[in-house]
Formats: sequence, C-alpha cells, structure tokens
Amino acid sequence: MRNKIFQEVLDEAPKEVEIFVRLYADLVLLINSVLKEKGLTQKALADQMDKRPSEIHKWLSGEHNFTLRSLAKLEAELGVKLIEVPKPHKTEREFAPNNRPTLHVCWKKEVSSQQEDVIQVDWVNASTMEQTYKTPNAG
Amino acid sequence: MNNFTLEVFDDEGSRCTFYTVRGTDELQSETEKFFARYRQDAILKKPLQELAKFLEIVIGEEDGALEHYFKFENRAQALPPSGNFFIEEVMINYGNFPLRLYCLRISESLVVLFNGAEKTSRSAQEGKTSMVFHEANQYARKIMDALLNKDIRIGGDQRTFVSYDGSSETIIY
Repeated sequence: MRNKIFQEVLDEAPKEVEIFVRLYADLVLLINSVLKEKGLTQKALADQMDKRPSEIHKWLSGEHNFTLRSLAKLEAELGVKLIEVPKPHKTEREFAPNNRPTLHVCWKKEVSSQQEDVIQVDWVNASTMEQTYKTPNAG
Repeated sequence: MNNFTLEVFDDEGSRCTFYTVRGTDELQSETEKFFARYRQDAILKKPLQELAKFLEIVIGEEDGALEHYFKFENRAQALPPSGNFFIEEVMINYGNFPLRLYCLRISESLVVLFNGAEKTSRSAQEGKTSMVFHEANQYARKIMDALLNKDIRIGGDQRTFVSYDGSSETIIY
C-alpha cells in the first residue's frame, strides 16, 4: 500500500528526476566507500588536495554542487573513476578497417552504341573505397 | 501531544517500509501534510519530486535506508533503561537541497517519516523547520518509549510495527 498523495507526486515526476536521484545516490555511496577503503577522513583528503577541510566538507555534505572540474579533482585524488560516460554507439572499433562493411552497389551502365543496358555490380570496400567491377558481359 | 497512530506510508518497495504518524483526531498524517504543502509550490515542487523518487526508488526499492542517505540532526538522546535514538533528515545531500524531511530510522528496512519543511537556516531548530523538528523529536521519543515498554514491537519481518496484542493497529498514547 502506498499513500495516495505520495503516489500522485511520484506520478508527476519527470523521468529526469529518477535518473538524478539514482546518479546522486551512486555517487554518495561510491565516494564514501572509497574514503572508507582508503582509511581517509575528510581532513586527510583536504590535506592531500591542498584544500581547506571546510571546502571538502562542503563537497561531501551537499553544500556545494559538484562540477565536472571538482569531480575530476576528486577522481584524480581518490584514484577511482567516479563518472563514466559511455562512448557513442558507432565506436572507432566498429569502424576499424577489418570491420568495415562491403557495400554492394548496382547501377545501369551504357555499354554499346545500341544503348543496351546491362547491370553492372560494383563491389566497394568501404574501408579503402577500392572498387572491383564485375560486369555480367565481361569475359 | 495527543495520541497518534503509526500507519504505513509506503510498503511497496522491496528493501524498506516507510511508516508515518497521524494524530488520532487528524485527517492527514504528518508526512501527507509535508507532501501536500509543497506539491504545488512553483520553486519547491521539483525538489519534492526528487525527494519522493529518492524515497521510492533508492531507499524503498533498491538500497534500503543506508546511513549515508541520512543526516543526523540532533545528539543521541539517552532513553532509560537503554537505547539511543537520532532524529534524522532524509535528505538529498546535493547542492543545497532546499527541503528537510524528518524521520526516525529504526533500521535499514524500517523508517518512520514525520513532517518537514523548507530549510531557511543552518540549524533545524531555527527558521521554518523549527516547529516540525520539535514535533518530530516528540513523536520519536514516544515511539522509542513505546518500543522499550513493549507497547509496540517490530514484527518478525523487521518491516512492520505490531501492537502489544499482536494487532497491526498501533496507537501510541
């Protein structure tokens, strides 16, 4: 059973809210876990980063928004990846020469004075753009 | 403070059940008052939605009431013969989150939510949170007293309150 007003507020929340709270929670857990694992206090972390303890406290207690720069500094100091951005779908690996697809292209070609049309199949290697012609009438 | 009942606010998550308190002569629970107050507020509507989703997904469904998600707001208050309790804030600890919702975290799977308010001062005892924080302390103390006196107990599933006579209706006097 869920309270009615609570359910209504949940229903009104856009998708981005759900994404934000999960990201936030994951970041909180990860930073605290790394600090614990390394036996670091906030003061020790401040010393390592050459910052005032109050500044680190603000980072970790919500009085300061994380920026990409502050996350990068923290990531460098803790030695743990805090945020990972996935590569675009078409990665470089997928377009590596050996993985490049071969395109089959067909078109009509005028081959005689009688304007006879024949089909020519053109094999194009997408990596080198080299073409290999296979013409039905050839040979 | 008048008598009040402990009632389920949300038990649909797989990790944590939320209870709330409602005065026996009141129509709305304390947590309902909180959500009803801010859901139409132009500025605070979004943070309220974030808090709601945080309760539903992160605490209720996926992680449970982990310590890192709460902020201790008062000093431990000793209760004879034993037991300490903390009033805690459920808070999104990010970027000066503007709302405070007070609660009593019994365990990672059982939390009692109270009322809350907009944070307008550094201390919970001051500004707009002062009244609801004071009331949260009173509710929490009575709940802990009732547990110590065995007027209520925590059910075998660790996610429910049960009255001394085994019923689920838990009125606290």
